[in-house]
Amino acid sequence: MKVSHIYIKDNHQFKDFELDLTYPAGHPKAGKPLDKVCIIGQSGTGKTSLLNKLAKPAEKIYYSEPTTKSDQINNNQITTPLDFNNKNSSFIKYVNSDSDIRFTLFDNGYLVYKNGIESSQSRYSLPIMIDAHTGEKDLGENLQYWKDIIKDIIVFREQEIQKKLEIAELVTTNQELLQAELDKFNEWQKSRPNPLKDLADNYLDKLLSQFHLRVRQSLDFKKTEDIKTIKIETIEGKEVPNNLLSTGTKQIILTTLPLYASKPTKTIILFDEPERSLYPDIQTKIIDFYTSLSTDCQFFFATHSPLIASCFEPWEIIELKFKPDGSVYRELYYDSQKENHVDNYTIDPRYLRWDSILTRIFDLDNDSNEARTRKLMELATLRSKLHKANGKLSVEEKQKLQAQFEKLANLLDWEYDAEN
Amino acid sequence: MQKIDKTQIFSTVYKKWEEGCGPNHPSYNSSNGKYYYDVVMNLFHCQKGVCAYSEISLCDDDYYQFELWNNGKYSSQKPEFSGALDHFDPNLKPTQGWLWSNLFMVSKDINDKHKREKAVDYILKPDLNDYDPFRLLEYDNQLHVFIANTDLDKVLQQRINDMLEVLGINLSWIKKSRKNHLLILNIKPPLGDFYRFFGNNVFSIECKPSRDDSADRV
Repeated sequence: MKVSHIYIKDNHQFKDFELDLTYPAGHPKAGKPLDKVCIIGQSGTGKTSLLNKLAKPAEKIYYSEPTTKSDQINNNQITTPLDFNNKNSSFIKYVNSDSDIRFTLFDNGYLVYKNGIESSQSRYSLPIMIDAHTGEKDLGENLQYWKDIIKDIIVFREQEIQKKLEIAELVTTNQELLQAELDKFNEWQKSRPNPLKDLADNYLDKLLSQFHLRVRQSLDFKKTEDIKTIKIETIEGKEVPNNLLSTGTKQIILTTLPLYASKPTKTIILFDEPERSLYPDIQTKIIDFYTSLSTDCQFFFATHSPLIASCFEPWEIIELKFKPDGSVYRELYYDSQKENHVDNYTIDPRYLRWDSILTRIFDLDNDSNEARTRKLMELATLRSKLHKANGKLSVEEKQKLQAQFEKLANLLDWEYDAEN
Repeated sequence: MQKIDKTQIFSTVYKKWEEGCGPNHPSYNSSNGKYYYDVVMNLFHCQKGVCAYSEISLCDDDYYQFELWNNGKYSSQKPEFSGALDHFDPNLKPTQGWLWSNLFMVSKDINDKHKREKAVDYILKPDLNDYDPFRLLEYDNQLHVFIANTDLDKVLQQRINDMLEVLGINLSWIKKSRKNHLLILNIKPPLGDFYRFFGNNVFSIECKPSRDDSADRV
């Protein structure tokens, strides 16, 4: 299921608000719903509200067959509840009759995963590390995912321990059967993939390695609790207690869990502020990371981060702006008088420097603050004095001036051309 | 920041009204003012179509030709321009909102977001008789900022640099625009060059020879 079009007639700041969520002409996927969407805009423009509105179709969804394009927008008649098993249902329409919000959806739907929306209590929770006996309340809406994952891991480990105990017993009682049991154990390992290894290798370690961490895969059984949780260790193998994990690490684990547990396919996935607690270098990787953990899903991210925005094609960015009357509109990155064609886009966040993203997309007036401007003027003043120094200043005075200039240039990270 | 000659008044009806207002003008209502376009377009004529402070182009010269004035009134119906009417000294705005000598056309962002009600020093008032940008200002060809002439005494330099900040002349987006403008014109001013007016288009460059030599070509 993917959303290709949204229309909101009148709902708070959204007045006659329409979004085309398809790839533009000239794109290899022209006309198809966007695979990922990045919603940006000033606080209050409705980024999270849009995510919340998108979350509703999964709770109460209906479908009807379209007849014309205008019908996709105007027909608000609710027909039949969505049949997820109906393979012929290629068009799904959600109508919220209270506020007249219409979504045009494609393909069968599964589930919608909400992260961080209306659940600030659980945003920084510690699902993977918290002991199941004491931490359930902190898991919030991810509790079921956590339970499923842990159940799978515990079952695997119980079997693993049982088989290893059997082998250990044979070491002292029956050497002849030992090799046969070892061969059976190896076969069992091949036929029963270790869920922890899957979680580590294919999900968490891809990013945890950036923090010099990884999921502990080796069986570490000193007490019962050891097999009831997932442990994190340094690359060198030293266990990191759960309470010492950084907020960013917890954020990665928290947001990866549902994707690992649900293995989503054809699913709408909503993320509010994926940049939360993450350092800039990780922010530039997090979108590719999340999208790689699913199959044919549609992601909606709401963000304030220019680094996150840099991961999107320009038609995938929904920039919300206020009109003078307080309602919002979508800022287009192509001339509205021209066709929505890839060649007509004048802004592409993937090709901009970080500071240019701030000024050109996030509408920051200046690329730096007034303090820097004043220092640049000081630097220019020193440069002018050096230029005029010949015959006026002693060698010592000139050297002192040169040192001041170089120190300030370094402070401003300004590369000057000595030839000029 | 060019020296601006505001003595050429085409909007004579407005000027007569302004002089008749005495020390207390009617309240200033921006574009709702009866003489708004008379003031704006006459200023553009005096400023050669650019922002009085940053010299960013704001109006095409087709819109401020003398022929567009009729009996002392600006007669074109819909002149196209960007920018805002700035009160150089904000303290005069409440009582003398339409004072010709205090008005300049400037970039809207400088007016709305940057300069606003900041206190000014008349040392950089571009229409004063003793304002001489060639004596007061220098341009750095790498940093693309204006600074006070470093040959002037330190106190004067400080006052000038403070005013350059107030007027927004070295704001980053203006620097960028200036840099691009020079690139388009293929001009690279030598280091230590005095102020020069680079004009609204390629054909109206006014250059005063710098102290070292004429403009370098890059």
